[in-house]
Amino acid sequence: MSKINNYNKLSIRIDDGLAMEACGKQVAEAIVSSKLPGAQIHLMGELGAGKTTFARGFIQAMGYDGHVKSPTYTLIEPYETPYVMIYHLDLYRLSNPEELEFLAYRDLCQENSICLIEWPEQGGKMLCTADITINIVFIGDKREVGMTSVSSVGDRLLQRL
Amino acid sequence: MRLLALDTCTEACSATVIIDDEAHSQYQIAPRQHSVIILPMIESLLAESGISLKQLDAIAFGCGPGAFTGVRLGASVTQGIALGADLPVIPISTLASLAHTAMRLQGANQVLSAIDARMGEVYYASFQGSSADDLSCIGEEKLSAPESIDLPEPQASIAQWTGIGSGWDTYHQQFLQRSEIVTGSLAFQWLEDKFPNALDIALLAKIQFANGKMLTPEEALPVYIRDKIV
Amino acid sequence: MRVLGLETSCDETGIALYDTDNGLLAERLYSQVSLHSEFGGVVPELASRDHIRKTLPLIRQTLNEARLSIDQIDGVAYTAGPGLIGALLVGAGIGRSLAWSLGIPAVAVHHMEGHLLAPMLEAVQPTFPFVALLVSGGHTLLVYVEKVGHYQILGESVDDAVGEAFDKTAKLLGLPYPGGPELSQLAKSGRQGIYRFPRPMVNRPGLDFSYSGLKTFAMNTVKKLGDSIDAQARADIAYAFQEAAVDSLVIKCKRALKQTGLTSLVVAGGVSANDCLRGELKKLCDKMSVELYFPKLEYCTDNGAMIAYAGSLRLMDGHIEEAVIEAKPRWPLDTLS
Repeated sequence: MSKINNYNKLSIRIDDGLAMEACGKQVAEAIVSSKLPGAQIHLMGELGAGKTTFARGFIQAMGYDGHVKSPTYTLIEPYETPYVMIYHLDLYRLSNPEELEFLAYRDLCQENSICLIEWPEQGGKMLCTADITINIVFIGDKREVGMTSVSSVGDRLLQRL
Repeated sequence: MRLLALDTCTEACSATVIIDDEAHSQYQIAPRQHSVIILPMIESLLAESGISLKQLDAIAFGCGPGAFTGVRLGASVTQGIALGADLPVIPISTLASLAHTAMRLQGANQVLSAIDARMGEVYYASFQGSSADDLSCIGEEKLSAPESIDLPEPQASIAQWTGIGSGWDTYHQQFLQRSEIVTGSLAFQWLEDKFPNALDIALLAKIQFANGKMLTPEEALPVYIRDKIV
Repeated sequence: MRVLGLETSCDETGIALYDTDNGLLAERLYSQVSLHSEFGGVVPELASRDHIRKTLPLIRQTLNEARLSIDQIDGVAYTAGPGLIGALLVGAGIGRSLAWSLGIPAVAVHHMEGHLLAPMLEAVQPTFPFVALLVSGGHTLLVYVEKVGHYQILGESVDDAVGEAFDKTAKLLGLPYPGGPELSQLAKSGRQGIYRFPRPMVNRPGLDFSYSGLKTFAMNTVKKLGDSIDAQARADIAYAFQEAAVDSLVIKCKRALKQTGLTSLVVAGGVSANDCLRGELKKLCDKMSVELYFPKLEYCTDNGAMIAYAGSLRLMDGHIEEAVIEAKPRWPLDTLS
């Protein structure tokens, strides 16, 4: 794993699924150690890039010990962890940002929680602004994870990382 | 007349039992705990007021708008109790209940109620009246960004309005920057930290009951405001 | 004892009245499939909104059919999980409050326990202990059922449920939601041996399943064909997918039966309606001299009867719960007692 660090950008080379889970774990640990009450994390990348793998590492590091699966089917999967509620969303199937209404997205914004959102592009302007965006790109059969901070919460997180 | 009212639409969870002019109420800010506390809360109120469910005339509930899950919980509990105890139901708008709170606490007679809908929007409506009997909604209940809400029509003389609800707590700056208010053709004062309360729901429901406006248990349905998408 | 059962964990509203002396008295089921079909999957908020409109009218219809009034029921059983939180809360809220207002006991039922015990509603019932395979859009589980309330999970899917993989692959092949049954239909005109899909996790010890790889394999196969994909190729892919999915279920059932030494296998959940799965399991069980039980088709999918039945067992046992509305979107089956 190699890191390139910029002011509000961080980029990490990932060799395999295990490293991707570890990357999710690191972000989770940074949230806990910065004592953040919640965060909006947007996960971007093509099908098969490893978004759910990242999310799995993240959610399990938060203390959830069950299986973490892709929320493609149910659109949203809630996870109750000792630290905070985590909502893992997959907006791939939304044909209109207004359909966020049908995930009761309003209710999620109601509380201190962490939202991990795959395909945030589909949510458009209806989504709460991200604290941090994570963009996973293919580099041959490896991946590069680019993290960009978009808020002061995100800045604090990236500093930790 | 004897009435039970309950509300779980927002951060607050509350219930009230009214026996003629006597009211027994409980009110608790308890996010995510409504499903756990609502039935025990009602149970203790009934015990305190010394009546049983079967002796009630109707059950009123806050039907929304509010958090979808909370609005539905209140409707579910109302449906269940009303079916079991064979009672009619009376839905009361949370925005109207807030207007009644402003009227009850401050004697306000022109109220703009607003509930934080999250995602940068509020549920809101304007109300006028001098008592629970003649409290009426001007226009309809709506959802929009705080910068673009429809303010009440300015009157010839400067009208004193009261703002209430979590929408005001979150967005009072945006509201108060509106030109109608800045230029002084509308004057607003703002009542802080108020959530819908079953006591106001009960007091409004009393009027509905007196007017025979009751529904069957299966008609105890939520009002989401946002129920159609383009 | 007459128990009213409410099931609202996903996209069906199921209501039933079960009498511990006289069996099932009446039931009603409303499916939301058409509501969700244009979205290609269950939409949680839409499901909740529909449940709250349908539950009370269905309770009234069920009572009418049984010629009973509401105060003639002795207990209420509602699905408390696992499932969609908003949907669960509707059944839990109505069921728990109804019982409270009638002054009768209520019980929070585990959805999967309902499925496990559904075969007990049949004239010919399996005897405990048995192995159960639960296969649906939301679950893939192999369970050792010792007796009522005593369940040990032998294996489960580490990612997608098998029904989910069927639906997703069907979508890839251009079939409408929910595509599982249509995929099986399409597979009938597919040819054996054109494509070979992997059998996920069969080379590893243990009884866990994995289906997300199968879905990805289907996606890559479709991608490779590009524009040259025709009706026959689609059917061939459907055939190969189903063959692999069913094969991995059968292999794990065989392993579970051998490992436990049990001689009864119960298969439940929506995917148990799949002909290919039924045929292959029949062959396996004939070979192993194992008794095979399928609940009838209407009890394979979600329904109120299984919840009323599972709840009645607990209520007869003197189970008492406080007036708290319980909804547990995640609720491990092996924590029951």
